[in-house]
Parts: sequence; C-alpha cells; structure tokens
Amino acid sequence: MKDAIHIDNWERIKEIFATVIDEPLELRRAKAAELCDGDERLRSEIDSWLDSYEEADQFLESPAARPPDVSARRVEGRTFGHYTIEREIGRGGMGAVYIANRSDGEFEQKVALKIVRQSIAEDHVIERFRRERQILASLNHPNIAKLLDGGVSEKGEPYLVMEYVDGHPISEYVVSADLSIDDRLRLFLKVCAGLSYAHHNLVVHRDIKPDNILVTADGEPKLLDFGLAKLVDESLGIDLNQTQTAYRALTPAYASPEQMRGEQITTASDVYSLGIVFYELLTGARPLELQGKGLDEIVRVIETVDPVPPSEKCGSELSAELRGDLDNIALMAVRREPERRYRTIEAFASDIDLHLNDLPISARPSTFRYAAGKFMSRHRIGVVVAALFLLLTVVGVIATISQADRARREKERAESISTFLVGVLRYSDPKLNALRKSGNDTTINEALDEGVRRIEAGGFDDQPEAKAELAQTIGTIYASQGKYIEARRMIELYVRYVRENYPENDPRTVAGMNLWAGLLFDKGDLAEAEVLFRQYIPLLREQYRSGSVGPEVMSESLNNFAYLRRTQGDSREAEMLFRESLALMPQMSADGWKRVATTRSTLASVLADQGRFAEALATSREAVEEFRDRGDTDSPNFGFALTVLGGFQTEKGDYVPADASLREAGHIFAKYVSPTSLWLADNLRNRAINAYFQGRYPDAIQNAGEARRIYEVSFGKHYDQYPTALIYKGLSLVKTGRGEEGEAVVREAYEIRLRSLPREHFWFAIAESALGECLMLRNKADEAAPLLRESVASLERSQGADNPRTVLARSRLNQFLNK
Amino acid sequence: MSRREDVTALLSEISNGENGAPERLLPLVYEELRRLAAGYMSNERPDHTLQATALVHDAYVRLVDWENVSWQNRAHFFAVAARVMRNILVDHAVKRKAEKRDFGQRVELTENISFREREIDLIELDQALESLAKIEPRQHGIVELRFFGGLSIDETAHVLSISPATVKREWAIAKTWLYRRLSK
Repeated sequence: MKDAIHIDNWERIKEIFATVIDEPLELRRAKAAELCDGDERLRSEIDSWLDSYEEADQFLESPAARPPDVSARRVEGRTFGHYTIEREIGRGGMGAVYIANRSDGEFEQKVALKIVRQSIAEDHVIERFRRERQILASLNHPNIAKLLDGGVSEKGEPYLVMEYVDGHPISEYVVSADLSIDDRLRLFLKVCAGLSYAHHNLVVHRDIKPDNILVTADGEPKLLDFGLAKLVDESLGIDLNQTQTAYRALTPAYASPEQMRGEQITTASDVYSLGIVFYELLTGARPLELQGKGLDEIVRVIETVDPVPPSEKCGSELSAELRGDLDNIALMAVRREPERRYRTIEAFASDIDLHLNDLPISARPSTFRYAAGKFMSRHRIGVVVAALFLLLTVVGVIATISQADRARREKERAESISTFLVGVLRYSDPKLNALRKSGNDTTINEALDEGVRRIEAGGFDDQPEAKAELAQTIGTIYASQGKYIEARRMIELYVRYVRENYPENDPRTVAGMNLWAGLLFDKGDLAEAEVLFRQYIPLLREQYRSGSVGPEVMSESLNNFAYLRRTQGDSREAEMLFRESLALMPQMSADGWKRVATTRSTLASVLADQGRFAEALATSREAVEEFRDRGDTDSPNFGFALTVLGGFQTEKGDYVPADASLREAGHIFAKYVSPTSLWLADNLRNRAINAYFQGRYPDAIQNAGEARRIYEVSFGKHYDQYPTALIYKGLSLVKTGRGEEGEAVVREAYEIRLRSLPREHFWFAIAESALGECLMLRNKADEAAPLLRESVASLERSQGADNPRTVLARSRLNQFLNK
Repeated sequence: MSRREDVTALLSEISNGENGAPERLLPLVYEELRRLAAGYMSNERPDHTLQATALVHDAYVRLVDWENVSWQNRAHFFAVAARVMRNILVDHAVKRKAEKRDFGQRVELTENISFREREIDLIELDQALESLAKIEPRQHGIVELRFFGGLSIDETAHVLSISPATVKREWAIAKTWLYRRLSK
C-alpha cells in the first residue's frame, strides 16, 4: 500500500527524506541512494516519496481561509454601476477582467472592468477602498491607462473600471513591429514617463511586467493596473498574514528581491521590475532563469545569481550594440540591493536618453554607490529603512531658501530622527505591523501622524530633547508637503522648547527661528517672515561676533534672508546680504568654498534682477569654474551652479552651450537629488525655456510641466518660480496648436504675478510680456497691445534697455507692430 | 471587561506562558466564529460558499484589540482560530455534500485549494489528519495551523515553541504523507 507506514523503518524514511529534499532536484535521488546504503526496498520507498513530494508542490500551500472567486460565477450581462459586462478578456491574480459597455445611454464607451476576487461588506472597508481608488483615479497621464470608476456591487464584489486599451504586450510589440534597439529605447522612455509621473504622485505600481504595458496600434505604450495590487490587498484588508506576501508576489519573474522576501515595497521595486522588462526588450530573454522553479528556489536564485549582461544573452550582431552603456544601464536597474539601483525612474530614463544622445551615462559597472546607499546600509532594518528612506527623500526636498549643503544637514537630522523612529517602531509591534501592511507611500504619513499623536498625548514628555527634535523634523516634513497648519504646530513646539531651554544666543534657538521664518516664507507669508528675520539676524550678527555662532550658520541665515528679500523685489538689499554672507568665507571650514560658490550662483540671480546681466553671467560662470578648478564636478551643488549658468546662457541666446550646462546638471541631479527637489525643478524649468527658444515645444511642455508640478508639490503655487514654469508651458502649448489651453496657463501665471508682486517688479513685466505674446499668437490684438507696450517700458526701467529680458520683450512688441 | 479586552488579555497571558490561557481563549473564539459563520450562512449567497478568510478576519477584528497586539499574540489567536475553522469548514462541507449529493458535486470552498485540477475534499483531508495525529501529533498540529489558520512557518514555530527549520521539515513530510494518502 502506497501510503502505509512501515513503522519499523518510518523513522529512517523520515530522516532520509528530510535530508534529501534540501538538495537540488537533480541530486536528490543520487543522495537518497547513497544514504540508503544498498537497502533497495528503502530506496524505492524514498524514491516514491520524492515523486509524491515533487508532485505535491502547491498542495495545501494556500490556506483554507481564502476568499472564493467571484469571477468564477457567471457575470456576462450583469450590470456594475453604469457598466454592463460583455465578455471576459482575461484573468489575473486579482480576478477576472471583462470588456464592458457604459450602459446609461449617455454615450457609448467601451471599458475594461475588473472584478476583484474578494467580497466586502463592511462600511469602513468600502470607504477605504473608495479612498484608495480616488488616489489612483487622479493619475492622469497619456502613458497610463486611466482608472475611470469603481465601486462595490450589491453583492459585495468590488470592481474597477479602467480605460480599455486595445494593444499588445510591449515585449511582443517590439518583436512584431521589428523595432530597432534605438526605437525600443524611445518606446521605453515613454513607459518611464508614465511610471515616473505616478511615482511623483506617490503611487507605486507593484506589478510591472510586459502584460501590464500594452502598446496600441499607433505605438503608444500604456501602463495598466496601476497600484491595483495595493488597492486590492490593503484597502480590502485581506492581508492578515504578512509573511504570506511572498506567495502572492504577483509575478515572480518581474518581482524585486525585496518583494519576494515580503518586505516593504518602494519605488525602487518598480525600478527593478521595469529593469527586467528593459532587459527583456533588449535581449528577448529575462536576466534570471526562474521558469518552473518553486518559490524557495526562485528566492534563492534572485538572492544569489548575478544576471549576465544583456550583450551576453543575445546573438552576436546585437551584442556589439548592447555592450557598454546598455549593459550597464540594464544591470544597474536590476541590482539586488534597492539602494544600488537607479534611485528614480527619471535617473533610469535619463541614462537611456543620454545614451541615445551619445552622451556619457551615469551607470557604472561594479560598485558604484549612491550617497544614500551608505545611509541605507547602516540602518538596514526592514520597514524602518523604507520609512527613513522616504523621510530622507522628503527631507531632501525641503532645501528651501538657501540650499548650500542643505542636503547634508537634513541627512544628519534624518539620522538623529531615525533613532527615534527605530524606537517607536521597535517597541510597539502593533504599529510596526500596521506600517508593514500599509505599504510605503502611506507609511511615511502614518509614521508622522503617529509621531504627532504621541507628542501631543505627552508620550515624550520625559525626553524633551528628543520630543523637540522630532517635532522639528515632522514639522519640516509637513511643511514640505504643504500641510502648514500641522507643520506650524510642530515647529512652534520646537521653537518654544528651544527658546525656553536654551539661551537666546544658543545656535538651537537661532535654528528654531530660522526654521520658523523659513516656514513663513514657504507658506507665502513674506511680510511676517521678514519681521522675524529682521528680529533675529541682528541677534545672530552679535552672536557671530562673540563667537557663539559659526560662520556656516551665519551665512546660511543671511542667504535665507537675502532670498526672501529677492522674492519681495528688493534685490539690492538681497545683494548686500549675499555679499555679507560671501565675506564669511575665509572663516569657514575646509569645504566652505562650496557653500560660497553656491551663494555666488544665487548672487548672480540677484544681479540679473537688477539688470546687471553681464555681471550676473560672469558671476555664475565663476561659480561653475570654481567647482571645475577644484575637481568637484559630481555634486548637487555643482549641478545647481550649472543650472543657474544654463539659465543665463539661454537668456543671452547661447542655446547650445546652455543646453550642455543644463544637461550636465540634469545628469547630476538624477543621481543625487530627490525627484521633487527644487534644484531639479529649476533645472527642468531652464531646460523648458531653452527648448522653447529652440522650437522644441513638446520638450518644453514636458519639462515645464514637470517643473511646475515639483514647484507645486514642494512649495505650492505661491512659489516664486511656479509662474515661470507656467509661462513656458503655456506658450509652448499655444505654439503646438493647443491655443485655448495654453492661454489659460499663461493667464494663470500672469494672475499670480499680478496678485503677489508690485507692478514695477520685473517678474510681473516678464509675465505681462509673455501674456502679450500669447494673445498676439491667439489673434487677440486689442488685449495684447497694452501688455506688450507696458512690459517693455517697465523692463527698460528695471533692467535697462540692453538687458536680454528687455530685448525679448521689445522684439515681441516689434513683431506685433509689424503684423 | 468587554469580550475584546478579555481576548486581548488572554493573548498576552498565552505569550507570557501562563497555563490554561489557550483553553480559556478557545470557547470565546469558538463562540464568535460560530456566531459569525451562522450569520454568513443565513445572509445567504446563492452559491453557498463560505468565506473563510472574511470569517476569520471578522472574528479577529471583533475579538482582539488588534492595534495593540504583537504578531506573536496574533499568531496565538489564529492558532486557536485554526482549530475552530477546521471544525466549521468540515461541518460546512458535510452539510453541502449532503445538499448537493444528487448532483455529484464536490465542496467548493475556494478556487485556491485545488491541486492537480481537482478540489481538496475537506472531509477526506479531515479524516487523513486524524490518522496523522495518531502517529505524528506534531505534524498534525503544524498542518492545522498552516492550512486552517493560515500561519506562516515562523508563526507556527512560535506557537509551537519549536524552530522554523523543524516546522519546515515536518511540514514537508506531513504534506507529502497527506498527499499520498489523498491521491490514493
């Protein structure tokens, strides 16, 4: 009898069986034979057990406590909301997908309707499902299939309605369309654009694979099922057993190592999955051989096997084309450790873009490490790392007023806060569980909210120092998210604490006031911020003279104040403050020059504001040269200097060198700064302006839109550069035939300037001139004429007659008059 | 104290190794799961499927102050629930088999517990587990926790106070034994 247990040798069977199943499949029987030591009966028994074991595979691996499959029931012809199911078109891990028609007679629309295989009835779950859905529905990008609607049927089945995409998986498309490598790369860049857009909106895809990237007949790729994995898993509260996550890792062939381990999923996981797709598009094969392997084996392969470069995976004629750049790009994207991959999709895309343009890429073979990498590896404790990484990313954004060395300071702050976070997360398991469950993007806010809750409940009253520091960090992050009310509460707490506990001349008190002033500035309360600066800058000067405050703090505060004055339109006081700050250089530590060079770039902008354009250009060039002379050409500060220079070169009309400066800077930012960094936004803005003047309108729209988005996300619409980004986006839209849309965008910029600046401010004049140009292009001569005239007059007064800004405005006026 | 506080407190007692706590927890979980199961059944869906996951989830949320429970304590809850769920699921299967006998249909619990193109017969599995309990009680416990409670290897190891490696090994043996028995 096959299942009979021969009690006499049951123990031996168990022992040998348990030993050999740890061996790789192909060695098991040989090993068993060896252990049976000539006992043929025993050996055949073990063999038969091994057969059963291998056959059993997934048997009992899915617990009985699993939901039934709603999609197994008949649904054709049923109505979900406004939609009637027509027929099934596919099935996935989450449930079945159908073609459905909008059935309320309003208009005909064919959609894809997905019925989630899990029924829900509880109100709070339905509510959570609705909220998550709204986030996804707000994603609006040409390369993302839109989530149109969703709901829960009267039977309790959650369903999602998506844009129906008639296309083929990208991996099949590139073969059937017989695309060249370069064309594949261009197609891939569009996928990157969609994904990067979603990441900026804090949505991680989590299940990237060719089947979820369909290419339509006209060659447009569309990402499907964005964030659905999370929506379904978590908003429906199915995931009671987090260690089961690995079993549900959606598509092992494309899942990142951390995903397979059931760890926190971040944007880095999407980078990995997209990297596998990239590899497959180049070679037609995936980097790792996982077909037919069990889960444990898959995890082992992913953890231990290094992918071969794409060039070694394909035929010789392709091989030469892939060797070098493309090998490095692909391998960098699929690195095992998240922190060693491209940090963002943009960085990934940027390398591809650079390669297409025959420029040097950032990916290097072997052990290239990012700045954040070191930080990450020091704090490798699962979820906390993920939370902190985000914290870091967010904190990195806050580089508000003066940005010199800000990143370093913020990093230190994040490190000290990590000690706290580790505390919170370690010593209260329930929250850790909740955090694990909630996924990355919400984690940060949950952690922050939790921090606020605990602070306000008196949870840290016995550790006032930690409490103040935490309040400061949370406040800073909230401020960066535009949650000013919460931010003020936290920062106020910090400022009160330092003021009560430290003397007025203590650096911490000053830092608190600095922060407070910065917050007011960020929020757009310029006048209030000015009052505060005027109060503490003299205080600070005294302290600096008495030696209790270092030159770095002094200079940074001066820079902040200078930048505020610049925004308020007083570029002369700004210049004085900047120069005072520059004069501190000799007292600064060894790398103080970097701060100074960065200050110099900002000073250049102030000079330009005063109409001293030639001086501005020279000063910004000096800053760049200082970096080059010192061989420091791979730091964010250098990127900033290049960005400023590129902006002036563009204004002057030196488009080609400007392009080179801006690209070089973009390349640096892709490596080192967060995707919502202000510096990155400035770079994109200047690239947009450059593209506009060179007639590359689609590029201009893309870059300006991106810059606009970062400004808005990081600071809000009152940020001083937000309207600039709008102007170039709007004008480019007009140039590409989207006149009405473009006009609205330019008008928005004009309105903002009108509201927030005095009429004689040159920024207002620039907006005025741009709107004039826009209206002229739109054949609205009556409205355009006064704008064009007044802007020229105003710029002549504030910038001088030969200033490029005046020249531009005048040329627009002349063009109008000649029409 | 509310039932919720009772259960939560019992879970920490179990974690602290206090004697008798699991026995006191069992009736509470049993009662709740039974009550919920009855509710699910009367609130009938046409296809009579019992949503085991939703059921256990509901019971858990109702009985445990889950925001303040460690994973170890949670594992203890599901360990107790596993025993009850096995009971409920097998009863349900027996009942449905009786109802559907004329059509020769098998119990449909979930699409996921099929193997080799056919459903697991929970009634047969239950009987096989009884036989296993006689020769390998520990393996029987492991299967119950893993399959009916949805516990991971680590959680199972924690509940049974043995090493994860042992759980893995015994699980492999038990699974193979049951598979051979059921595919006979």
